Amino acid sequence: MRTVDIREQEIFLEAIEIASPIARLDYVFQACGDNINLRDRVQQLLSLQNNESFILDREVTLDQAGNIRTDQSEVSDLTGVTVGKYHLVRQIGSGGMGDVYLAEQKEPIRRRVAVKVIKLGLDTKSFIARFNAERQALAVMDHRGITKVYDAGSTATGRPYFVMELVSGEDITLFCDDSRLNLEQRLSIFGELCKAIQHAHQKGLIHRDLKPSNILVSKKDGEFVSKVIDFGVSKATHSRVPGQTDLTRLACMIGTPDYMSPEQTDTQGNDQDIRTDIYSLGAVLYELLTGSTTFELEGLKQKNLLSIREIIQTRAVEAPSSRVAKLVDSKPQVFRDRGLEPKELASALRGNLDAIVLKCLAKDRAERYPSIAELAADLERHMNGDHVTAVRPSPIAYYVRQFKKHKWLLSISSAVVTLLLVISFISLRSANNATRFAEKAIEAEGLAKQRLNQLVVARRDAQLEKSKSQSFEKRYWEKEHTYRNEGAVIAAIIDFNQLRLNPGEFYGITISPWLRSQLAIRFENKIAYLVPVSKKDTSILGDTVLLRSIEEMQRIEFGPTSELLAETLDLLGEKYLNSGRYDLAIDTLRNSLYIHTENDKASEQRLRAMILLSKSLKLNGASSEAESYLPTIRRNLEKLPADSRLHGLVSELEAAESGKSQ
Amino acid sequence: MTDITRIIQAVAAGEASATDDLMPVIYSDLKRLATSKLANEASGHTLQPTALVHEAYMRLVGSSSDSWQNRAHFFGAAAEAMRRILIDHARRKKRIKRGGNAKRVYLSDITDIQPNESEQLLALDEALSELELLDKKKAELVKLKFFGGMKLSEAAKILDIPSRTADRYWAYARAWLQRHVSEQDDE
Repeated sequence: MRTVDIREQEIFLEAIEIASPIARLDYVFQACGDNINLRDRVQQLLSLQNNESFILDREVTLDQAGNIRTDQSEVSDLTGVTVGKYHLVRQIGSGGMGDVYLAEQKEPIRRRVAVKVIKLGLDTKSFIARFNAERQALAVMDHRGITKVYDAGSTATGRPYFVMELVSGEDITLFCDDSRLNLEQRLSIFGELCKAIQHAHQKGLIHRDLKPSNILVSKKDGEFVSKVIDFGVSKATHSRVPGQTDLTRLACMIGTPDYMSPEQTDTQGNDQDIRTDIYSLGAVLYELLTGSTTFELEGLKQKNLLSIREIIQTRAVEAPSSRVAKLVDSKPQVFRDRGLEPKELASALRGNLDAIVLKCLAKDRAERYPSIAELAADLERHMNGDHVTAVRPSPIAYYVRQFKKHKWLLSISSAVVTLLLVISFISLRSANNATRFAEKAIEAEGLAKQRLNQLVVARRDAQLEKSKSQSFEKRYWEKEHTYRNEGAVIAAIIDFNQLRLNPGEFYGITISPWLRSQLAIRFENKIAYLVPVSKKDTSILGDTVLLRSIEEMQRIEFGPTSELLAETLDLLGEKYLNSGRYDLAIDTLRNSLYIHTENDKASEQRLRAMILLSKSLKLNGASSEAESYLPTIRRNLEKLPADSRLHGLVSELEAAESGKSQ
Repeated sequence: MTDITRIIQAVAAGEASATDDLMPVIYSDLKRLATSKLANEASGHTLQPTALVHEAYMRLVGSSSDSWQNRAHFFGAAAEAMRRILIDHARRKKRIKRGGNAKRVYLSDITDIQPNESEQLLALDEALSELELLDKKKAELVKLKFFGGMKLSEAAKILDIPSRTADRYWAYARAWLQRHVSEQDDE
């Protein structure tokens, strides 16, 4: 007998009990495991949960002509209704969040205002409480580019509303396109907009919901005037329930997520600062310049919240100049509206504007402009033809771009090289002050965690796309324990890079070349241990550090016969041996054996070097020379305690299969 | 004693054939009631089928024999009866729209590109029939609430399931039906 899908039902019913949309989706993700079909079906059901237009929720009636009608339980049009002191005259706009009415206020002053009645099933009381908490801050805001918010309250049916200055204008993007403004005009309007937002930031207010429909532009006396609306509203409508985030807004299908910063889609979405606004401004600028949104999420909105979050958090934003190059056929109006030929637009964006926009849109807010003032200053520099500070690509964006580009086809070494490139930027910026060690360590840990997240999300991405595993991916990702350790891998790589890039110091602490080579080996082994791939691949990592250390030791501090130098040579030789580069191993170990012999014929180090050399020779096919060391090795070994590690090393040597003679 | 009460009592007594008798009786009664109501009321009046079901219950079964068992049998049959009445209406409207009484429709008249209510109702009916095959209890719950005008808690009593279970069944069935409807649209 056929039945409904029991598993689907179970997961669905469990999921709807979870209040936070993120936690809910995480649950679904986990419960469905690899069954992508099941997950899609469950998510489809969940997305239908919020659909209020389903006939099942309405009362069916029959009219006299026998027509079937349904009641809409709530009157959506409030025209002619008086709420509080305001008489709603007519509807003048409608947005995702609610409808806007032109209203008349009679007392205490007679004026026309705009009243926005919010659609959300918000808790009215806490909305008003939050609004009142913001009121003081809103009152001190006085800028011609910011629309004043006067009042808030609730309608008879309990829908929250707020009252604001009546302004006319069109969404900034529509206005610019309709008026066919060129890039200079667009940038100058955007510059004015920045000043308004900066004013608010100085008063301690963050908008949190900047998007074209909240930025109205009109032309007055031959001048473009932009007005930001809804200041203070987002915060009042922003729920403080733990775990609930701005993604709730997504869940309610409000607005477009294209202007939402990565941190706003996080489970800990409450941690937002002015850089959230900077991200949103960057997204608006992106659209002003390219005529398209950063990720074109509009169509995706109803599909899948989780993938929207993933996109916002991990997908690299395409540079504006590359984006417009793709619009030549599909959106010719973009070029017409800006009065430029496709090639002209792309080249106008390339360089400065690409860099400025991408800096605003950096995933990591530490990579964004720290303030609007700096963004505005960079734009000004661009317009004056000066050097723009943003023109150094964001390492994070670069990393993500590279990672996506070579997705899963990366060999470990190229992945590591990519990471190194990224981290090199960070390290180059590091201050050399030893007292900042702890700070640096924390920073490194933060970075490691962040990259761990990116990798985990990227892995999900791979599942989503059902991409066929390459052998690298198999080995690297499939084992659960492996990817739990990714944080450690990255921490090791970051540490390693500290060594590589700052000769003579480690996190600002002065170290000798010898210590450096020791640390390099340690980190390299750690990476090799954590990432179960061929030793040969990871082994290349430390080579440069070791070689440079050796060079330095020979040249400066220790002289050509130092025991420490020999030890470093041993390390390098052993590395070569373990990664199968026997020629190099033999050369290196001969050198170190020579030094050891000069210093102390009876030393354990000398014996060790000899064993390693012998093994390298044997594996390389030079059996007779390898055997010539055996009597000396055996003789010296007898003098050592039974628990010496060298016993094992000799067993290894004896067990090693002789390579073919070349 | 009305026919209906007699049949209900027969059903309660375990006479299986009586169940089959109940629905047609209620069907014709509800239909007659609807027609006369719509004809007599002032113009512009609309009729709530679910209110009609309750009214019929009060009249036909009354408070005299008001036991949960009676209610269960009555509402189970009445919901199905009302479903058929509404579907009949919807089908008739659809036929008229497709041909027959063809009428010129101006573009400005078409304000809503959503399928109209009749079509939505037919689609829902189809999905509900499918659900009946897969999960009778949930389909019954939907019928009692939507066509019979019962509250979920009442329907839960009739179906002899905990109220909380009824809530969960409803949530799942509602989403399931919606998905089924949207998938039919896509095809």
